[in-house]
Amino acid sequence: MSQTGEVKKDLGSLISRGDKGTLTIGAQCHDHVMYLTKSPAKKFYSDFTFNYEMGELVGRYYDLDSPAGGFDLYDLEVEALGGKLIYGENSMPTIDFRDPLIKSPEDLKKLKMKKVDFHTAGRYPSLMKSGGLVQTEIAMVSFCSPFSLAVGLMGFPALIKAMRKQPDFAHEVFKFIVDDVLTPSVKAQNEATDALMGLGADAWACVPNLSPQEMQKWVVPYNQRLEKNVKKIGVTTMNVSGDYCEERIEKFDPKILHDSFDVEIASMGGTPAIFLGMGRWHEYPLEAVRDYTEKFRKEGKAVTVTAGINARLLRDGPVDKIVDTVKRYIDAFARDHNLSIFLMNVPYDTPSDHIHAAVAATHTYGKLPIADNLNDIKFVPPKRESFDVWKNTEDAKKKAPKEKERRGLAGLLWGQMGKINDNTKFKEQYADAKMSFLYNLTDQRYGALITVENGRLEVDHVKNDEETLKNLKVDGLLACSAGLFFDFSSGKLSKVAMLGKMLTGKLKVKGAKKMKELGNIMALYS
Amino acid sequence: MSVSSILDKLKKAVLEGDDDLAQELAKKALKEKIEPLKIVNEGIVPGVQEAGELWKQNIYFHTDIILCAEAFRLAMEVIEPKLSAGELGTSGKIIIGTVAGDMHNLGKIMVNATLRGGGFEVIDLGEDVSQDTFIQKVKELNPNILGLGCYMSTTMLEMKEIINKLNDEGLRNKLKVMIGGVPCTQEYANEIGADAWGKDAFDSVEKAKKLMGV
Repeated sequence: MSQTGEVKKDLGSLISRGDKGTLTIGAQCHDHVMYLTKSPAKKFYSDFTFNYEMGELVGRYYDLDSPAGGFDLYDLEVEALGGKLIYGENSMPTIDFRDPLIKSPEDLKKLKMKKVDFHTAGRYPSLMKSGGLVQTEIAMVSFCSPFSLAVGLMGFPALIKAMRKQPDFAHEVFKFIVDDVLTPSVKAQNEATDALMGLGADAWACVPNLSPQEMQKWVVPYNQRLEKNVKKIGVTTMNVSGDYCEERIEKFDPKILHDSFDVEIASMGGTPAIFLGMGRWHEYPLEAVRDYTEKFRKEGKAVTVTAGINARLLRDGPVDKIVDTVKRYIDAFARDHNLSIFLMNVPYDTPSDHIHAAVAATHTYGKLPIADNLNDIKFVPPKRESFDVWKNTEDAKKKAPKEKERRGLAGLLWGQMGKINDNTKFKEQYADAKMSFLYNLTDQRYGALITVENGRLEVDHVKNDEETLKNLKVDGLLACSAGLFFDFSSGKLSKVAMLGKMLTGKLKVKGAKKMKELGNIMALYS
Repeated sequence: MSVSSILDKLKKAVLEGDDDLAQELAKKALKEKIEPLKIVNEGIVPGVQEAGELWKQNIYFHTDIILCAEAFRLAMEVIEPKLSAGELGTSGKIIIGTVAGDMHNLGKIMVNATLRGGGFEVIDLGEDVSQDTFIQKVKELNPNILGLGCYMSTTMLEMKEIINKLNDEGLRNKLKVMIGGVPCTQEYANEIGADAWGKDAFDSVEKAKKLMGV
């Protein structure tokens, strides 16, 4: 949460564990976690609580700033709809593309008739039981974005053929996916876990699979349709669509890159956040990214850049090149962008030394404030014990203290505000202060109670019922629907519009002066 | 319609990925008594080749290449039975397949078309192909190249096992092995003892030709 009370809506800001005074680094690392922990594939990919625990363990081994097991959920919806999955002995289950669920308009009609309960179908019960802790430490709604789900239901060739030759049918498929599959799936997850944000996986919607123009026509509108649908439930969705993954460096094209960034931003609800994902970013010129973000910087907006370390570079190395990639990112973006580093889909048998080096490089070169000249910083890749040795140490056995349960908005706010407790200025200035605020989301089961006392900020969930709220004495109150809260907090609502919402009773604010104090507190952090 | 007009239209249909039209024009070409090999070499293959050029220029994306590959496949379905033995596959014989546990076929569809367009006889074993099936087919069909594809870092370990089995069976020196797919690299090809790594469909055909010396 920023000075203006903004709840950040981007991938990078969801990577959070404590405050080391450095840039953060996260990882999509599920295959590698399975390998290190010697977990059976079926259990690992079906028991999401187990998956999270293994990821958390490996995350601590590598000193990552988020759990490492998180993975994109590509096949849950297809499985829940009755699609066949292949469960490999050592691999993530994959859809059997030889027998897709939708081969014709008749198949679509049949699927539309099928009633699927996303609380109970397929592996959803396990997902619900995990409390939505699959991708991050904050409860999240997980889903496969519309385009990638369409590929899962039809296969890529059949889908694109339909897009070209039977566009009406293709649009029907996408509408079915958004309205009849993803919206109820998101709703079920919100009901079960109180998660308010959702992150959609969309690896199929990338360059060069699709041109940016095709993505603007077929990907963005359905991502936005989903965003609009689930806003009514109080959930904000983002889709990781539009990744630029051109393999041949000689084909690198800044114009196509910029057009793909437009797709990314449009798919992230308009938030200026870009993702340098699966492409050969250790070889692409980073100046092309800065050229794109210049227009935002001129407007005084800091663009969030989640910078990926290529999976194959991570596996093959060498360490020097991995470290150099981290350093290049930091030098290019850390001073005037919100940068975080992300290890992309870490391959199964990646040498641990490579990951340790990437993490250490991020925490060394990324020490805040960022040095003027990174070459002045001495970096030596760490020499660490193997995971097998580490897992028997006292350090490994000391589980990270279990966070107290914070449902709904409380979890989301804690993820972004909790770090203030490590801030010395905050501790000093608010040592004797005592104040409390309630953010109540009127259409959700829980609101968030923020208290500041004895130099510590705390966030707790409070039940959104009349009795509880009546007995709660707070210095400041903000009450509105979740959708309105996100519009308000992300600056989408003008002052005039806010006034209108207040006059019509849709937005209630009490103790505005005290509420401003909360902004002052967060300003200490930013 | 003149011979050149039919072949030009066939090339355009393949290039633009209009599979139904490509098949129709292939039938029309045969009806007009155009030599089957001429239809392939002057109508169908040039469509794929031009698609490759457009792809290199960032004008074509995978959507275009996949549709082009489908049009190629349907046109070839008509012409292939009419070709005399030895007229196709002059560059060599390749067995390809996606390894066990992996169902992805997007890259393979494109590679299949570019290899065939490059004069290779391609036997596609499909997806989720077991190690034993690869070995059995190598013994049975005696290919010049074995092409292994995968999409996941977990399934790419299968490739190493298949090469080990080829060694165990005394087959490794009788053929070349190429690998491809998202997680693969030249480093991995070197590590497991493959002869080449195809970065993409067009790179694969160039490397396959190089391996065959054509």
